[in-house]
Amino acid sequence: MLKKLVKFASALAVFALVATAGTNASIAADLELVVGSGSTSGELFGAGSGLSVASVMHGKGIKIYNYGTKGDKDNIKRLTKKKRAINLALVSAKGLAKANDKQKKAMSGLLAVGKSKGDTVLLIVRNKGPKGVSKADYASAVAEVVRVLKNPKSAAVIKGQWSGWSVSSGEAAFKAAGVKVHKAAM
Amino acid sequence: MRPIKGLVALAAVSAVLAPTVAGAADYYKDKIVTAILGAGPGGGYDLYARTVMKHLVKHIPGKPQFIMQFMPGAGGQKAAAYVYNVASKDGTKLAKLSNMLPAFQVLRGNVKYDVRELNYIGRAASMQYVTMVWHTTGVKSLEDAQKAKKPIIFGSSGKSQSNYIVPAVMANMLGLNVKVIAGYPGTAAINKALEQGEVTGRAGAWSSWISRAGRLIKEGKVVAIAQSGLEKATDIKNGYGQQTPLLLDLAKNDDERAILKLLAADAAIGRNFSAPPGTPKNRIKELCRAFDATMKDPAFLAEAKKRKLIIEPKTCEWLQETATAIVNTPAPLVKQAKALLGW
Repeated sequence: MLKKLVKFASALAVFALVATAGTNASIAADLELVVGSGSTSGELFGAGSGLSVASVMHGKGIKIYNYGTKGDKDNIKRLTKKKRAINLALVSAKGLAKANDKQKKAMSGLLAVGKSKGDTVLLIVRNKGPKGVSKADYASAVAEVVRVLKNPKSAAVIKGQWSGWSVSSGEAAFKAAGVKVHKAAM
Repeated sequence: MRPIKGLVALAAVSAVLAPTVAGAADYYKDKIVTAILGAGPGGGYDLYARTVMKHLVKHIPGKPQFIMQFMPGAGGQKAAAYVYNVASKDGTKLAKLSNMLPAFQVLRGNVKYDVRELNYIGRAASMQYVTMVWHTTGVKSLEDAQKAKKPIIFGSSGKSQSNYIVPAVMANMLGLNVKVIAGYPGTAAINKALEQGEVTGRAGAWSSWISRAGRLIKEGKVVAIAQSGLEKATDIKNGYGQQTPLLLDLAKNDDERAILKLLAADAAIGRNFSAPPGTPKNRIKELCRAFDATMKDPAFLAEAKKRKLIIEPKTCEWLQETATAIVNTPAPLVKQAKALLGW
């Protein structure tokens, strides 16, 4: 009886160790991306928060962090600057059209994610990955962002924070703004 | 037979205790904790917060996941107001807010929070401010600075920042020949101005000097002359290899000491973590103890070392007491401190 109990306890301990190690490994592997949303009192900040939560709940190997910015112009500037750039940004179609050619070359379009104040809200991505991340890993991470955002379960999470969430390709809006669509979104 | 009886008894005790332990673990299980930052990504706030959060969640019963939320603006006031007034109080929101909040509350007034009601979780490091001067000034110590005929020109990002407060104290209380140029966008810009000869001094957090301008120290381009905080750090030497003095120790009387204490308190509050007011007390207790465990976690300490982060932990109780003491500074002394800063 005692032997059986000791055996059971040992097996339980080994199982616990393996389970914990697995959790830590997956945390370490997450690629952290920052999305510039908008004013902390505006609706797009809520969208950014929802996106962030959805990335943890339904994403694999990525985590998106929400950054309260000053809006379109600020987002485009931060997405395309050389140092400490953000990786993703929510911008209005009108705002995106105002980006200069150099900025447009540094970014790609991902998706249209809804409407705010009568204008289409677009999600754009920085072409260059974070420091120390290979091109292939960054491309996989961007593909995972698209997958997560197209997931109906994610939509439910994000809608809880911003009711305007509605994903579509946004191809026409990106074309009109003169911004290429990212391969992962095609 | 006896061991089996013992095991049965142990199992019975465990069964009784299980709901309590599981209760704590269950709350955070599958939950996501949001760390709200009063700054943007990429700086010291972010680096400390991400490193601490990554390990802190392992010590919270139920091992929740975490995300970061950046809310810069108004020198950290925006995030503080959000955490105090809007953020949910269920234990899933944590914050790394400005170390200046208690001093701001008492010196500025009219703020949208009360740090006495914030629930501090713990401090990862102090923000001991070190005054550095450019090597070409010939100033190698505070005594040299007191004798200097040519003014030391300090770069500052604004009147409410420590890089203004410290040189203002040195000029108006200690009588140093100091001028301050305010308006630089941040630490990096002031460091650049130092190298270009626009300014000849900067007061900044020691942790920031080490992680962001270690090269200037290593090459002897900048010389430490004084430190500001509530406790003296022993490893900060001046140009003669002597320990740099703590400005607090230079107070000539009790009133001066109290004023200096108020103005240096932000250094002690340091890299702090908190939760919104109204968060259940038992959850705060769990978070405080998880924070304490994180600060001793070898994996956390190894990562902090790798990232060149100074770790000088303090408990939530110490932090709460210190912040409350700052806010309760007597009004006449607050008035004198304001006059000293020209506020």
